[in-house]
Amino acid sequence: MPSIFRAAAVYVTLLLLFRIAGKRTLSEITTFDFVLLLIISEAVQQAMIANDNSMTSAFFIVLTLVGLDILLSLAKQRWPSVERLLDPRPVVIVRDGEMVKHAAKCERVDEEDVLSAARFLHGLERMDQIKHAILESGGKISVIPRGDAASG
Amino acid sequence: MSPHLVSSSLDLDPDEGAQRAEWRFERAGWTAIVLLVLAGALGAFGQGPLSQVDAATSDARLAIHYDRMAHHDTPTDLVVTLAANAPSDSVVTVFIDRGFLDDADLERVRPEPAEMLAVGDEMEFRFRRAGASLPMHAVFTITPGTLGRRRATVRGAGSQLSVSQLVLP
Repeated sequence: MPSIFRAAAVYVTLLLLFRIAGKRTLSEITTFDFVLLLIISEAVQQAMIANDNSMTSAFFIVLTLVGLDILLSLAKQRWPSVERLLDPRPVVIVRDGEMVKHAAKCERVDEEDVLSAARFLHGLERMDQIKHAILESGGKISVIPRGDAASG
Repeated sequence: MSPHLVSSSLDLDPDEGAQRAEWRFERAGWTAIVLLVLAGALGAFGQGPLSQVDAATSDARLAIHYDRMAHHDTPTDLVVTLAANAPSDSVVTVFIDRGFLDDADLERVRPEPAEMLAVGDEMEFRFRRAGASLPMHAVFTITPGTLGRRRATVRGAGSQLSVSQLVLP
């Protein structure tokens, strides 16, 4: 199988796998996540290059991966349904200072994650200072403070 | 409409049904991952107990052991055993379909055959046997070069067995 098809197969497999894994997977790179990324890249490297260690093969693998990425971004721009299918939606996990429990549970986010983001982004101390917290498509938590918390 | 997932002051896509479908898809995906890993560990995709095939003729003079699932470009062993009660010649012969070997790299044969001959549609491997009272094992290490189903007939000691192997990418 030419390296182009192997690279495309790896791209599609990883795309599907990380879509299944959810927004929080690898959203904030801990030391272990970093090691995990390295192991994953090592594991798929052999599948992509097989026994072809040539520079031509490496060149076409990179071309394929980058090309597919560009193609996908164009498709997402052109057809919103493709974007909805491939990119997770932002989810409100705190509304008016209250955790939206079902959404938080489904997204594997707890109160401590939200408070951590609130402290880091706005220097907030308590949940009641948060108006909204949203788990964004990329897995980061954005926090909108209450008006009085922001001014105070 | 969707009191839990959206807020009226936030400009977010309020498609709660799609969000729930996404969560269901993720849960189904997690289950699939667990099942695939378990199946992989058991050898459903090669290199495990579920993948191993042991076949023998009714008179037990010829037996083979191989992987039902093999991986492309990865060596796999075909073990051919000729029982001690096979013909008591000092030289024993194993025949394998040439097509099976032509589609692959025959990396190694242990023990080393005294002779390898192409005979019609078959490859003939002649081994010297130390003693007729001992069974003889010949290990053919083969690296499949094509994908999909591969079939072969293995002959020896006047008997024959079929090999059917699926090569995964």
